[in-house]
Amino acid sequence: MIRSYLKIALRNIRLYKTYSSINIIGLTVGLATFFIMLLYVLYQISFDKYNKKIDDIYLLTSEIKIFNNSTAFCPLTLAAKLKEKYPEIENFARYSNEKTVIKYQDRVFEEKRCAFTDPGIFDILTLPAKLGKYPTAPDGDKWIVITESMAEKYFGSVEPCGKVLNLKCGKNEYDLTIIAVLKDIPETSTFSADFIVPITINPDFNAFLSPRMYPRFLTYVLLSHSADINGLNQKLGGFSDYSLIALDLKFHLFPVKDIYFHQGTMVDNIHFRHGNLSNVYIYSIAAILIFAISLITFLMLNIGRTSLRIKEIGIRKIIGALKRDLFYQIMIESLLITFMALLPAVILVQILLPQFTQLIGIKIYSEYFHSWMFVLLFVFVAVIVGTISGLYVWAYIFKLHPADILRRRNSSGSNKIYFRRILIAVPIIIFSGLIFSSITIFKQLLYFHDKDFGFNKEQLVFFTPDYERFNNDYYAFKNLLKSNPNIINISAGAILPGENSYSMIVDSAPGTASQVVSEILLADEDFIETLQIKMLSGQTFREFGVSDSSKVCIINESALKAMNLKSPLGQELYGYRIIGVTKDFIVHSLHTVVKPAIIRYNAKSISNIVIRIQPDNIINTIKYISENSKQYNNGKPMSFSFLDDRLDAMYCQETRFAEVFGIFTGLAISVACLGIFGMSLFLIQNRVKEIGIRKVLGASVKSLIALTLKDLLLTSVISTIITFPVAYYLINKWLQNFAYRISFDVWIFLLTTLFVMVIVIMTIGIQATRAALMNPVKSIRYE
Amino acid sequence: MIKLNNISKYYENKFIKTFVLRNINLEINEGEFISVMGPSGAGKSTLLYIIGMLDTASEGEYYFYDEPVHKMKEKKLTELHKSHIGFVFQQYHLIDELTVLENLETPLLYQKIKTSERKGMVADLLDRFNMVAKKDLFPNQLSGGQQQLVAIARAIITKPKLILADEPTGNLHSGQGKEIMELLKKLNDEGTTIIQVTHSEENAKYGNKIIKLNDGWIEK
Repeated sequence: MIRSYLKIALRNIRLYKTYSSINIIGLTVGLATFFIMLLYVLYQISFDKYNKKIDDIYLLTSEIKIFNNSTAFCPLTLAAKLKEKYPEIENFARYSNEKTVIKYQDRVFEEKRCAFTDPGIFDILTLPAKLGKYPTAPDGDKWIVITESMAEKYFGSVEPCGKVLNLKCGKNEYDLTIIAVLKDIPETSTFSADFIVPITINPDFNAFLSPRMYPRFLTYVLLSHSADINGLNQKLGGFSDYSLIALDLKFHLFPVKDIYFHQGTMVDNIHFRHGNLSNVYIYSIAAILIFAISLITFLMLNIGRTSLRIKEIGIRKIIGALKRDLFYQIMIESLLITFMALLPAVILVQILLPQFTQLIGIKIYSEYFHSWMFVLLFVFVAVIVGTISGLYVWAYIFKLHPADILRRRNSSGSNKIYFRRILIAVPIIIFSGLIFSSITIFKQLLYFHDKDFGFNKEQLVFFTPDYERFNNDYYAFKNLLKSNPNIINISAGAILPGENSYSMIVDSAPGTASQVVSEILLADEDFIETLQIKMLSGQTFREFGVSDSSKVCIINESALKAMNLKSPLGQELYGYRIIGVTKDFIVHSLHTVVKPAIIRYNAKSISNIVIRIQPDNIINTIKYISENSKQYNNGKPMSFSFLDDRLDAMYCQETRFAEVFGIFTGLAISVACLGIFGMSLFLIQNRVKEIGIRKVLGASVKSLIALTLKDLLLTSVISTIITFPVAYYLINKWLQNFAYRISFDVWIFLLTTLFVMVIVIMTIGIQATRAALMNPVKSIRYE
Repeated sequence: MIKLNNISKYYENKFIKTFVLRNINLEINEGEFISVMGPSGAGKSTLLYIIGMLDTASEGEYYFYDEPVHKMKEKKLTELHKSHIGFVFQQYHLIDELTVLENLETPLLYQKIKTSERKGMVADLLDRFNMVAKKDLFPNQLSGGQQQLVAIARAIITKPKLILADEPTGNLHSGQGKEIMELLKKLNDEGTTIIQVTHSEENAKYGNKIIKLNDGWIEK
């Protein structure tokens, strides 16, 4: 029996080739999208879950009330003090990741992931050893633990334990003995390391032991399983031995399992890989929507195909099929076609997964994908889809009477037509929403790109010298570069536009008691001229004629307003005399509004150099700068970038998001078009006779095409209008992430509607035209 | 074998009753060959479908071998109909996606007959109808007469007591039509009860009794 069902199912698939291929392709794309998203979401939410004690691991943080923010940097001696005082704390490990150079015999590599930490890390995190034994306190500070892949990289098949590696970090150099090899740390870990070495050999360690210092070290804390975290946090809040009361600073334990999706500056990007929870939501919703479209398409086409086979079902009933027999047949056919889509879907996932993960900047291990759990999951999803579609078809035919079927009594009432119209409307609603969102997102990105930053960001080259004596040589370097006519101006300082770091000062404005948080920029005399920042009043440093001893500053318009300064010029501000006021310019990114800023004259602490060059001959100019920078940078050319690239890079998250979203929209449109195309085949087939009769009665081809298009176009326009409020609400929420954002015009709505209409017309136009051009003699005899 | 008491069939549509059959009283004995005649829309096919249990009467009683069909549940009806009744249609109604052999086999599959036995029955029938050479062809590769032969073969493969034929020669030219009628006659001679709907006086003569329907009434 089953063999007979399979046989007829396969013959049917072959007979209705167009239907079947649309059906299978649509479902394949839907399933593949759904599976990729499933893998992506599972990957994202599995971060740090590999740790067996994850629920008891915390990060020690310092909360600073006035910045309304917290930092994960704490004094180095704090953890030991806390452990002494609070028995709930079982263990701790301080940690920082540094760039090092590691050498073994003739093998020398620069290693970016070298963790300087306490041996406690091996107790806190789940880091199984492959070889050797992890260090304990008596092992001193001459040990190093390396990962499996590093063992492979440095030693190949040679036993690594006991070998001595030379490690160079900054100016310090150590010979360390390998005492253990650990299994590679999972990709889904916020803690990452290729090498683990004692924290005490970190060159910064001894310099930052003071309790007043908050160096770039993180502190992991392991609590006992029964610890009351709220109570402990309360106690830590009152722990005043170390906190800087003036800043209202309190210590706090932050759960490590929440790090990955945490938003804000607490968790520094240098140390932690970062996930974006709202992107995870948005991507999964988009994937589910695409899946829904493909499912609806699948259902519609199955019904369409079944309606052409009603006669067969009637005959089967007459020659003795029980309802049960027909039910099995429909289910088997439905499952068969689903599984025909499952296989290419899995292959598609296999092919597209690497591209996708590269696009969104994550790395999903393929073993992850090959595990039997996922195979089972995929099969399960396919069975569900097949069953739903089978049940839907069953619901359509089970009430039909064989006598009615064979005598072609049309039993499809107007109810069913409405229902089918809804089925067509749903994909259109979804993809018009996606089109609307895409247009908005791309418009916002364009806006970023074209936004007036308050200075001229073109043709600015940005340098970061990493030579410690550069301060002394700066003017020699500057004069040398200025002798080239292609170099217009050059300025240096700290916290310049394009830099990620912040420096804040919190103090009351002159003459008032209200606290103002201002950003401090340090710059030399050519800053305003080089960046071409517009002045509101007063003078620039160059116009003022600063000298080494000048204690002057320039403030921006926001500072002027925040501090409510009536006549700012000449006033003292935190020890510096105000000589000018600039218009607001963007220092960091468009995500936040311009803050009050104070530019202090300072040519002594240089961390960055900005050079404005002529738009012509850029390559030669760069070459010139690069050659001449060598002698001031230990013989190496300085690494440079264009400032506008750096500013664009601040939106790489958004750019990436837009790309992924665009791909989703494209997928949704293509799957929906497949579905609408398939549906139109079916709907037009049902109307061929009507069209033929109208033609005989003298209808023009044009009016016949209009007749078939009218319904569907009306449905699409209504669907689009239904979409707008929801899509508007959601995308507006996304736009709230940016301090500077686009406003909605009518044309975004019009463009979306137009887009949807064009897509729908292109999809069904050919079918409609073909039906209208058909010879009426043929179509009337069709019955 | 078949007894109809006051059978009526009507469709209700917004307070208007459209009658197809009115007060049909009919008794058919085993071994009879009945021809039902009448103009289009007289209710001939509906009567045939009601007797064949594919449709139900709106009113009246129907006894099949003294069992009350009008009181039966659908499952029982299907059982009764699949074991006792074979259908032949004007449009043949073969399953287009199945070969001749598979079309013949399908009713046996639904009867849950074992593979070996099934193969034997199909082979016998193919032999009897001289269609062994055509067993792997699809319906659209056959002429109308050949298709109707297959349809009759399919109707009798389960050895039904009753064959219902709805204008079995309606789509055939006269030579083929004659052949089909001869075949039905032969089946009747072998003991199968046959009820046919026909427009042709000539074909009606194959039967031993003619029932005339007009506007849902049996003409006396």
